[in-house]
Amino acid sequence: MRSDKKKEPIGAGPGGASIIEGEITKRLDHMFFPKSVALIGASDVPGKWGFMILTDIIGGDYSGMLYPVNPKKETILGLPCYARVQDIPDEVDLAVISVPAKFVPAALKDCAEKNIHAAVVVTSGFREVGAEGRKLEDEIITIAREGGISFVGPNTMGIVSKPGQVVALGAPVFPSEGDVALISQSGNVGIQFIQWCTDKDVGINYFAGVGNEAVLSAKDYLTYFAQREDVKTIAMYMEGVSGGREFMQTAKKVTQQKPVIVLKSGRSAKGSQAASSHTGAMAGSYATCRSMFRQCGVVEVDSPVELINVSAAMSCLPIPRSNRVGVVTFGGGWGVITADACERSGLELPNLPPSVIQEIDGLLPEFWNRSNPVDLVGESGENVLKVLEVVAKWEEVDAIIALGLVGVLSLVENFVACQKRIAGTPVSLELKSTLIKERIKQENRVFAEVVRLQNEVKKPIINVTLGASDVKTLVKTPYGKALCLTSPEEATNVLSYMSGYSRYLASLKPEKRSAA
Amino acid sequence: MKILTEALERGEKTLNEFDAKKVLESYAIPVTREMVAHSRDEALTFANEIGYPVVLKGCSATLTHKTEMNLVILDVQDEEALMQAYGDIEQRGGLELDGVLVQEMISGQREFVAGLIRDPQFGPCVMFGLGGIFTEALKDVTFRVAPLTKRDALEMLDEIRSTSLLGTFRGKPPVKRETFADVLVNLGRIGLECEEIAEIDINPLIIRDNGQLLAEPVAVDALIVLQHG
Repeated sequence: MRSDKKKEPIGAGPGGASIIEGEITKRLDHMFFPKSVALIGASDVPGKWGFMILTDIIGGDYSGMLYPVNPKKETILGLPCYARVQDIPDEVDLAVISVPAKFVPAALKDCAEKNIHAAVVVTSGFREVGAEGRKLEDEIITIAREGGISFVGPNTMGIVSKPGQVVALGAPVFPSEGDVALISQSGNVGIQFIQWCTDKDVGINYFAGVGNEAVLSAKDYLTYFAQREDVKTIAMYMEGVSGGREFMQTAKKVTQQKPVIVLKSGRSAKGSQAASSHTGAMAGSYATCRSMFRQCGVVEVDSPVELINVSAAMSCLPIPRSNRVGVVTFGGGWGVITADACERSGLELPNLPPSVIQEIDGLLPEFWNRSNPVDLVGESGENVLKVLEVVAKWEEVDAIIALGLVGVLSLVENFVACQKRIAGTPVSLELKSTLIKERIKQENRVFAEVVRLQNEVKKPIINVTLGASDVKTLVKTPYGKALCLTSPEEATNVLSYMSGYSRYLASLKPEKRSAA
Repeated sequence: MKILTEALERGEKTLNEFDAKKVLESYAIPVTREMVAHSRDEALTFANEIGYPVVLKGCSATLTHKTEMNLVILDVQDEEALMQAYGDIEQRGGLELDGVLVQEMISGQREFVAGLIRDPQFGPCVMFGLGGIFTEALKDVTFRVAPLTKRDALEMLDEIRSTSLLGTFRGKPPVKRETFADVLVNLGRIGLECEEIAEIDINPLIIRDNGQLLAEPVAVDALIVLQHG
C-alpha cells in the first residue's frame, strides 16, 4: 500500500537528495510497473505527441488503467477523458506529461496533489534551450522535490517496460522479448536502437530515455536495472556523465552483478583550455571518461553495431574465462581471415594438441589441416557438429567461433531458381519448398546443438553466417538463444570485449580477499 | 602542508621545482638529490656533495618554461663548467630566480610522464605516459580516477603503447613495476589530500640506469600548479 506521506524524490539532479537503493526500487517500480497511467496532454489529433504516446501505450498492450487527461475533451479514442489528474477517481501510479513546457509546472503540481510519485516529462524546451529553459527546469525540480515526485526527463522520448507492458514513447517502436535494458541520453538514438535491435530479434525489455536528467540520472536507472533479475545486460548510450564520481561508484557495484555496455559519443578531446601543465592539456574529457569506464568494469564499445552485438552476446552467452579461442570453418580462407581478426582483437588461437587432432582424424577426411582454425573441408551433416563438440570441449580454449555452419538458405533458393530455368528439370514448387524446409530444419538443429553444447561446456559459441544477413542476431532454440553474427571480425570483436570483462572480474578477486 | 600554504600566501601560482619535489618526496615519490644555491660558493659545495656530473637549473616559481629560456644546463662536469653555468643562469633568469638548483645528473634514456589533474567530471585523475619531448607529439598517455588501487596503477603501465620500454629494453634492465605503480597511487593520494594543488606534472620521470637488476624511476623535473580557494 502506498502511504500518503509525501516523500523526498530520489535522484541526483541539481542539489538532489541522496539516494537509498531500496527507495529507488520502490519509486521506479511505480514507473516501470504502473497499475494505472495518466497521460497529461492526451490528444486525438494524429501527429501530436499526446496522440502518439496514447496509441503507443494502447498498441503496446498495456493492461492496467489508462486515463487520458485533457480539459477540452470528454473522451479520447473511446476512453473517458479527465480535465485534471485530480478528477481521476482511482489512484494513479504513473503520469506521462506531454503538455507544452510552460504548462509542465502546473501539471506536476496537479500530480503532487493527486499523490502521484512517478512521472515521465516528455516535453522539451528546458535546460537544452538556454537560460529561460534552465529557469523552468529548476522550477519543476523544486515542484517535484516538494511534491515527492521522481520523474524521467524532461526532454525525453519516454520509457518502455516490456514486463510491465508499458510502451510510453513518442514513436511507434515495440521491442521484442529479451534480457537487455537500454538507457539512452538521446531519445532518437534510443528509439532507433530499439527498432534496430527488434529487427535483429535482440530483445530490449526496458528502456529509459533519460533526457535532461533533472531528477533521475543515468546512475539511478543503472541501480534499478542491476537489481532486476529479468535484466541480464545493461546497454547505455551516453553523451556526457552527470555526477561523475557518483556514477562511477554505482557502475563499479553494478558491473560486479551484470555487464554494463556503453557507447560514448563526443569523444573528440577538447582539452582543458585553462590547463597550465602538460597533464592538463592531455586530459580531454573523453580521455578521463574512458579511463573511468575501464576502472569500474564498464565495457566501452566503439560503434552502434558493437553496442547491439555485445549487448546481445552478453545477455545470452556465458562469459569466457580467457581470450583463447577455437575456430571451426567452412573453407580455409575464412579461417585465415578469422585468425588475422583474432590477432587484431587480442585473442589467442592455441595450437591443437595431439589428443584433439586424433579425435578429429576420425571425423574429417584424411587431408584436413590439423590446426586451429579447423577447416571442415566441405564436410557436412553430423560430423560437423561432432568436430564442433571436440573443439568446444578442448580445455585450452574458452570460446568458439563457428564459421559457415548456418546462413546458406539463400544459396538453396538460388539453386532452385537456377534449376527452374533449365527446360525439362524436375524442379517444382514442391521440391523447392521441401529443400528449403529441409535446410531450415537443418540450420535450426545446428543452432539448437550449438546452444546445448554451449550450456554444457559453459563457453560462448558464436555462429558466423559469412555474409548472409537473413539470419537474426539472436535465434531462439529449445535450449536458449544462439548468437549469430555475419562476419568474423564481428565475432572476434565481441569475444575481445567479453574476455576483457572477464579479466576485469578476475582482477577484482585478490582485492576482495585483501579487504576481507 | 606548510610549503603549499606559504606559497599560496605569497600569491604564487606554481611551486618552484625544489619545493614541488619536496611535496612529492613527502609522498614517497623518488626525486633527484638537489639543493638550492644562492651563491657560487654554495653551488660548489653542493656539487661536491652530490658528485659530478651535476645539472644546474634556474629555480623559480614564476619561470615555468626553464628549457625554453635556457635555464637548464645538463652534464656539468667540473668546477670550471659549474662557474660558467652558474653565471649564465644568473644572467638569463635575473630577478625572478629564487636561486640556482644544483641537481644530481640522472643517466637514463627512458623518459616517462606522470601527473595529476582535476577533471571537471571526475575530480582528481592521475595521468601516466611516454615522457620527454614525445609527450605531446605522440599523446601516448592513460588516466585513472583517484583513488587508484595498485591494480589500477599496474594496468596503466601496461596500457600505453610504449609499455615495452618498461621491460628489458636494449640491454637495460626492466623497471621496478611496484615502485612505479606506487608513484601513480601516491599522486592520486595527493589529489585527494591536498586541495591546494590544482595540477602536477612530473616530466621527465626517468628510469635510472645504475646497473641494478631492476631500474627505478626518478622525478627529474616537476611542476605543481596551485589553486587558490
